[in-house]
Amino acid sequence: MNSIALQAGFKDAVTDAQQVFRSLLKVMSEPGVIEQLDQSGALETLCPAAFSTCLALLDSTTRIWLAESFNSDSVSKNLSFHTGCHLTRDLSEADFVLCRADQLPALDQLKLGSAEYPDRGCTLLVQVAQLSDMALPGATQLTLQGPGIPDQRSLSVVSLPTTLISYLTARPDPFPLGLDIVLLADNVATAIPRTTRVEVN
Amino acid sequence: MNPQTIREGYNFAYLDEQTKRMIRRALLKAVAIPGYQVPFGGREMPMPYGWGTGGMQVTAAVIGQNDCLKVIDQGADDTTNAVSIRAFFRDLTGVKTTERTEEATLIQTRHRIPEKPLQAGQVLVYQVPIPEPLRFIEPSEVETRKMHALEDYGVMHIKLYEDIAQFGHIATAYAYPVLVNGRYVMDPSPIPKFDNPKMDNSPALQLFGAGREKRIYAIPPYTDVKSLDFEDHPFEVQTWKQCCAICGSTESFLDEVIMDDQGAHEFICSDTDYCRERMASQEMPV
Amino acid sequence: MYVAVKGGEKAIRAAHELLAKVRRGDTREAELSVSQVEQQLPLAVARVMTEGAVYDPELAALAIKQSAGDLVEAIFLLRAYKTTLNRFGICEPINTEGMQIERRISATYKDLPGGQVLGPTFDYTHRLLDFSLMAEGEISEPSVADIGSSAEMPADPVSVEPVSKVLEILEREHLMVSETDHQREPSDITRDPITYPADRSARLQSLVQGDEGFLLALGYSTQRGYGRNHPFAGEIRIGEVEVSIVPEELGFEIEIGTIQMTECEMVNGFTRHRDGEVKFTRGYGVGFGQCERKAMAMALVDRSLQAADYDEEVVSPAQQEEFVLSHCDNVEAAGFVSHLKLPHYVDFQSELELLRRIRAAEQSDSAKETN
Repeated sequence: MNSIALQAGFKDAVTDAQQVFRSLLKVMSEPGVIEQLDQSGALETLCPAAFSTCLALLDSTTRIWLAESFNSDSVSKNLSFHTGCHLTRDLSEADFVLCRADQLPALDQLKLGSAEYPDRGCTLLVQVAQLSDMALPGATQLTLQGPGIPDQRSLSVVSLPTTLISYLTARPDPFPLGLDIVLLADNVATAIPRTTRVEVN
Repeated sequence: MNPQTIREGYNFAYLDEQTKRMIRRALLKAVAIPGYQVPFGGREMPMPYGWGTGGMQVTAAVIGQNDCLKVIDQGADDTTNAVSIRAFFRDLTGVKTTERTEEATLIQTRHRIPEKPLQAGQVLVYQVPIPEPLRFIEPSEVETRKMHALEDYGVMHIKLYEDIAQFGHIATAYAYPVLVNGRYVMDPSPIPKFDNPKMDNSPALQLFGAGREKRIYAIPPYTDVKSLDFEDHPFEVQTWKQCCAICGSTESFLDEVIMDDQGAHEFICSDTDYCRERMASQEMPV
Repeated sequence: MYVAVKGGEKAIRAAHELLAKVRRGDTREAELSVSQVEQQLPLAVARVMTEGAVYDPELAALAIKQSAGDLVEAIFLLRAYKTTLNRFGICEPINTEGMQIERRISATYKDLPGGQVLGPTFDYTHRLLDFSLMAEGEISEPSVADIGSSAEMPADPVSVEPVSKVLEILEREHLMVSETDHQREPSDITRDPITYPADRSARLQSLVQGDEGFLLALGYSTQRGYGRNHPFAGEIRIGEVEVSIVPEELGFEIEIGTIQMTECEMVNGFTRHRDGEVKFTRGYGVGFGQCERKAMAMALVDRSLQAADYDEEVVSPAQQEEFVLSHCDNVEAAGFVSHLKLPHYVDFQSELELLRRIRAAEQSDSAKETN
């Protein structure tokens, strides 16, 4: 039997979870703002921001779907150990979907909730190569508008997949339905909720 | 954090971590769908429902060691309920508390928005008794949920228009409904309509907690919040002929104070911090 | 200059000291101990445990003492305490058929296996104030043989053998709709707020915690014709039941203790079911300790809330699920009614200003008309 190494989670479960949440609240309410998220280390290929987000939001009442590259024994054991979350292989029942930018699942399979309960839709966590409010070389330059944004805000993302770009610009699910997306890179995070209008420059 | 101030045996900010996580997930959805009421598994708090348990649960889920907390009721820091809630969080978190609006990172309020414009980075938590703006027209949750889903707000406009027919005015002076981000009609909690314009495009994050009704909703910063009205009856706020008897303000919301049995009255600022600061600046030597 | 009266921490503290004084009463009297409350007011303890949703007679007694006998306040104390508790596990479904019977009656049969066991009950007491209780003396023990009402049946108050359920007898004859286990995870109203229409598990959880007075009034209203459902008290049983858990690491069931419960199964009017068969319908009520009135009221309301299942027209308050479930919790109701005591002067000021404005406009209009 292989024994899986358990990795440390938060140093201070109460304080770290609160700080990660406050950063996520900040980026979800002010799309495109970039926040530091390094209350935990990395977990295998999961960057610190992604692992911290999982530690802060998941528990035994949430179901997460992991993209292939994250779906190792070590990642799933560590996530179950630290959070008690349920791993699911059924995209349509996942509350959270965590994937690397190059392994995006079919977006039209994700849980959307209903017009009566649009909050029951899935939160999509995407680990990308790099994020910045300044134009990065080789990055997709986005201009964001909507609630949480005075006038407009620029966001530069390295390795943003084209399917996600076309989802964001086309917004196939009419509001109040839609995916709320958190972008995670190394030890920073930002979000693009369903209300944000996205243009590619 | 001063560990001595945290009551032994209780979690930081009272709630257990699982309950906080549940509220936090609801808050993230709430900001993603501005003005939409997210159901959440509200818990019993050690204060009665109706006394701010929703606001307290939101505050408990949001507050951290670096926060500086202000609590107001009726705009005042020294009303009994504000004192009681502030003491609760001071004891169970050890965070710094303040009465100064600009010093606070987190403000829990009942029935008012501070007069001093809020800043980016501040979070305002409202205590909400009845989160459903359509409830007084349609008592059934099944029905009102459908109306929100279909964006069917005709009944609300009819109700407001009936007021105009009967009284010549829209007869709603507080908890005056607003349209958030052009989509959801939202109850701003029982703040006087005087405060409604402060919600529009505020740089602060506004969170709403209804404990008994188990709903959370939010307005992100820089979001359109429009008070419902009609072209021929535009929205307008309260005005007073009098000024504050203490600081002389003519711009703040004034409370009426009865002076004697004959009904003589005076008016004073409801926002005690605003009034105090104005007095302090008047006393400054020139 | 007028200074508005505003309470501070000092005023709050002083109020609480006064409350403590009122609670203690005349200090020449011995202080009531928590165990006296637990032992001598067991029915109050039962109500507080049931509606407080925590089975702990000692804490319920403490809550009753602390609340000076205000049971709704005591229920609230217990609920607030419950919020702080960690959840260690979920017990196996309780088997009330295996109950150690202390009381068991059926109004639908004269006699039946297991017998009619009156047990401790107010029934058939003449409601005459018993002045002998004012004189502090020992109460004579009832003889065990006197308790059973049916002379032919064994009258042991604690029957050791499991006693079968009355409604199952009817089920076996295909005269009664069956309660079926849908093998679905039950709802948990402490974690997910009820959404409507609610499933039966959420509904029953709500009703168990629901205010006895409210459910009593609603149950009563169904008897008077507002959503009539022709009830018979099929069976009421009170006694100890086992609580078991299956720890994950062990994988088998272990008993962790027993609790006292009251269960009521109501036989209700028959109807033609969707499968074409004509059968009796049923309502279910349950609670901690001895709480017969509550369990009966709950069973009546559980049945009236099944209106949709039997295509009954929903016309009465007791049949309206959202109305019943969203108003039955006395912690919520008492909180919201009592919050009217909080200052509302900002909103009131807004109304005053509006009313004055409307009246001023109307007076100037009528002044214009008279000119």
